[in-house]
Amino acid sequence: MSSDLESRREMVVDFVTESRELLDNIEPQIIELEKHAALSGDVDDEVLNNIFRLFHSVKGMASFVDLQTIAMVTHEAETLLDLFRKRQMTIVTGHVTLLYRTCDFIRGLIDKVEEELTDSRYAEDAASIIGELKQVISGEQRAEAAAEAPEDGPRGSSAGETENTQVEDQGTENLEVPCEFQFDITPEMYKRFTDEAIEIFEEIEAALLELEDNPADKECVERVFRGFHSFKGNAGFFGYSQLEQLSHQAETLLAEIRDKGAQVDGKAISALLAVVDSLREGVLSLNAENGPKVLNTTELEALLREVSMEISGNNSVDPQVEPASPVPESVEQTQGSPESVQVDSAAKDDGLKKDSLEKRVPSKQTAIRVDVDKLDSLLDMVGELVIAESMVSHNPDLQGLQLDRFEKSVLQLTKITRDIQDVSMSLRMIPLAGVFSKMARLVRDLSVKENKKIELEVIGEDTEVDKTIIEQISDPLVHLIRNGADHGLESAEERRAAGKPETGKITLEAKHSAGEVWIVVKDNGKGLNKEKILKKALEKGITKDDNLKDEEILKLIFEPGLSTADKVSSISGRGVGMDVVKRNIEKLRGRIDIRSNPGQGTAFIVRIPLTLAIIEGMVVKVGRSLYTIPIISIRESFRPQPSQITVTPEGSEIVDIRGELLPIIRLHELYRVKPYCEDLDQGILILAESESRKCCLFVDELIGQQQIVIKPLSEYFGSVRGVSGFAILGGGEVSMILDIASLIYSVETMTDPVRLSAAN
Amino acid sequence: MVAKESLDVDLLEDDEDEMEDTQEGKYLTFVISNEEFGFEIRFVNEIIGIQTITEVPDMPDFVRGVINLRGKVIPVMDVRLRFGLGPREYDDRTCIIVISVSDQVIGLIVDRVSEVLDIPKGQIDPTPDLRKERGNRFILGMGKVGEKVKMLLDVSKLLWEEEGGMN
Repeated sequence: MSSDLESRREMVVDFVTESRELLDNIEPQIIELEKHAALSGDVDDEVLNNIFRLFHSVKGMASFVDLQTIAMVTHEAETLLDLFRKRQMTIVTGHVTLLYRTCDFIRGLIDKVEEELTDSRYAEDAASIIGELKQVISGEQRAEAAAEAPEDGPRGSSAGETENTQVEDQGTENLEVPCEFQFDITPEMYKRFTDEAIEIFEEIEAALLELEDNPADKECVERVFRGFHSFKGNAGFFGYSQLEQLSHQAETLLAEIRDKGAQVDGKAISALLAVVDSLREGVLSLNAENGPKVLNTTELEALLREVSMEISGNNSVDPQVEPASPVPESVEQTQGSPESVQVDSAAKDDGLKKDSLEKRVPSKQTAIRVDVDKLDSLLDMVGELVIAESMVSHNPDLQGLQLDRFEKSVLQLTKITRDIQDVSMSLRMIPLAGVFSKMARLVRDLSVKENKKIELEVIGEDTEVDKTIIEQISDPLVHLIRNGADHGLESAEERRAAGKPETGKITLEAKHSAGEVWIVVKDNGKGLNKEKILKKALEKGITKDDNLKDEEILKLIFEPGLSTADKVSSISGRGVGMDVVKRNIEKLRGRIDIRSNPGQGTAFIVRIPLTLAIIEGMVVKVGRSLYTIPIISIRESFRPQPSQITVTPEGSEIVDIRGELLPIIRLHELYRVKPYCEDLDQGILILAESESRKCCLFVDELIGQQQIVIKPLSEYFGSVRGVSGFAILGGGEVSMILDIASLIYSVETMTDPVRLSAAN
Repeated sequence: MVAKESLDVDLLEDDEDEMEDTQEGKYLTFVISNEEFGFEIRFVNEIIGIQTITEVPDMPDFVRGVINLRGKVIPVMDVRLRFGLGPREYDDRTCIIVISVSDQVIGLIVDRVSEVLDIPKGQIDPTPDLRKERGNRFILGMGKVGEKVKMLLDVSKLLWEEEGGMN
């Protein structure tokens, strides 16, 4: 009995993994199909066949594993596709959306199957989407029978023409597809929404209670703000306008509190807690049939307004904030027609995209599935191997001995170890294509929502990165693209007026460069307004310096609270997204740069180191402590002449290197260790640079260059000034890995009477 | 005869019960400043002799730094200092008890490690409510073993309870 269960479980697991892959491949193909149809009014047979085959495969596997519900749903999708293939139906936006929903539904079922090993419970849920598909299918077949000549009929015109408006409406009636184009929400999605919402509410409550005790705590205000913002986003996505609206009001109030630096009193806290309660009730009342029941909205909104009045002393909430209209619904309703025209591309680019898409069609690679845990375990061991090899080759016992043959063997060992390291690192590398293809769908949705024509260009999606990066890069990219679509790209009229092509373009590009992976998100929109950014930053007290270089001004947009958007929409403009993006990138030890030209566009360049775990480091000694400095941060090292050193009246030391004056940081003072020498001209100065900041570190001696396996800073420590992790050295000693940028920052912000550098 | 057999059977059952709860009620005891302490063995990964500690800046005094444990860098805490007692020079009986709590691995430096003892719940008295000073607030209860009393520690509190310090 149990072995039956085991083998069934295995089969189901295989099915789940494979069908998920197939579904991932279907979506970009559907987009391609739609685009092609929009252009030429016809379907691309090859793409259509691909999609058909993919659905067909899913159906086959599902039947084999006795998952009849999934099989039935895919069968209907197959039938629909067949109609397109036989040219018995022209594909329009409604069909595409239905196909997406079908994919989502199947995904939901697959998730369930993963847990339950069967899909029999969901026959009822499936009935609704099957019904829809059937209606579309039979509706067309009926309409076909009724219509005389195809040109007269409701389906005749190519989607590229504007008479599509009435075609769409008539088509809609015939097809009997629900007008709202809202996607089918699976029980799985409800659960996720609810679970996340509950978590968010807990966090908001905790932050509010802390805030009550510490009314001036800005961090708490941020947390509450972020909580409402996240929840609002989720609710909006599901189309729960009441929840969205209420959280929007709360968010606005929080923004006011934050911007005015106001101290919150008990009344405000209670009001906000009441909002949380109401939202929570609404979420808990959700189920498959009904939307959320949100009570007391009018009273709560009135309460929030009162609090806002008390805070601002004005009569109204910030007039520039648009009330969050239920954007998804209304947009989708009225935009029903121009959609198929908007999400197109200039004819000449179509060829390019077809090529790149063709590469994404599942190619026959010989691949083997490996459990991620096993892989991680292997990589851990490889890391240990590198350390152990280092401990052998740099063993202090060997110092000074003449061991020619031994050294030859060790060299061989080192080479092989490096090779193993390279190969095993590459095992975890996955092409970015998966992440990028999700963006295609995002851009399509944004294009509709923003009522702008947006084209997405993807370059280099075959670029491979480590699995961790894949997992963490998606959210920041989504935000950057949303920003580009929302704020970067102008509306069609504005673009025409500026002499630009009506269709705005967002480019996603990935490439390897010097041990890093570069991901660029750029738009050809209106660019960032530096004066405006600087002005806002000065206003909000984010910076006091009005004499900043261009790059520094652009970097200001990463500060929380800074947004130069005139109108705040429900997507972005709140000033909370970019700092999260930066933080997420920094978590990957990456950085993000901005380039922007007014009228021409903006580019965000994300750079992430390829190897997360191993770096080349220079080991240095200060007293009895050892520190490792990443080689990429070192420019040079030297013993200074007394004549090169200048000491300022405050006691800061400056060194003159070929005319350049740089500050000196004494590591022994920073870390309070006892050095062997205190005289600068008896030790070594290391010229280090990071993020265009330079400094000279004073150490006792250089030990040598090594390949270092980075051991992360234990969570127990929290953060340590200027230290990014630990390294185990050849002799087994532990050294701290210095992070130059953070080091310089620590020194600048230190208030202890340590000799600081004044010249920065 | 019959009575004895049934008695034996009873004993057998007890043994089985104990074997099932493999780590419950078992405490690793150690000595700090001539007092005996202990905590549940389920937290203990291993016990090693004292080894070279690399200092880490900006930490409270009881966090001595890190050690290299077969390629893993783990923080070590001097329990004496955590209890507010004076430091003691490490000798060849000083041990590091490597524990794992909530996915974090930390080493605890103690004067001497004693033994693993079974202390059933019935033998554990609540801490007499004295001043919640220093070491006292880490104590879960007083375990009575024979005539001796071992102070049983709450490992989480030991690691994380603040005196204006960490995490």
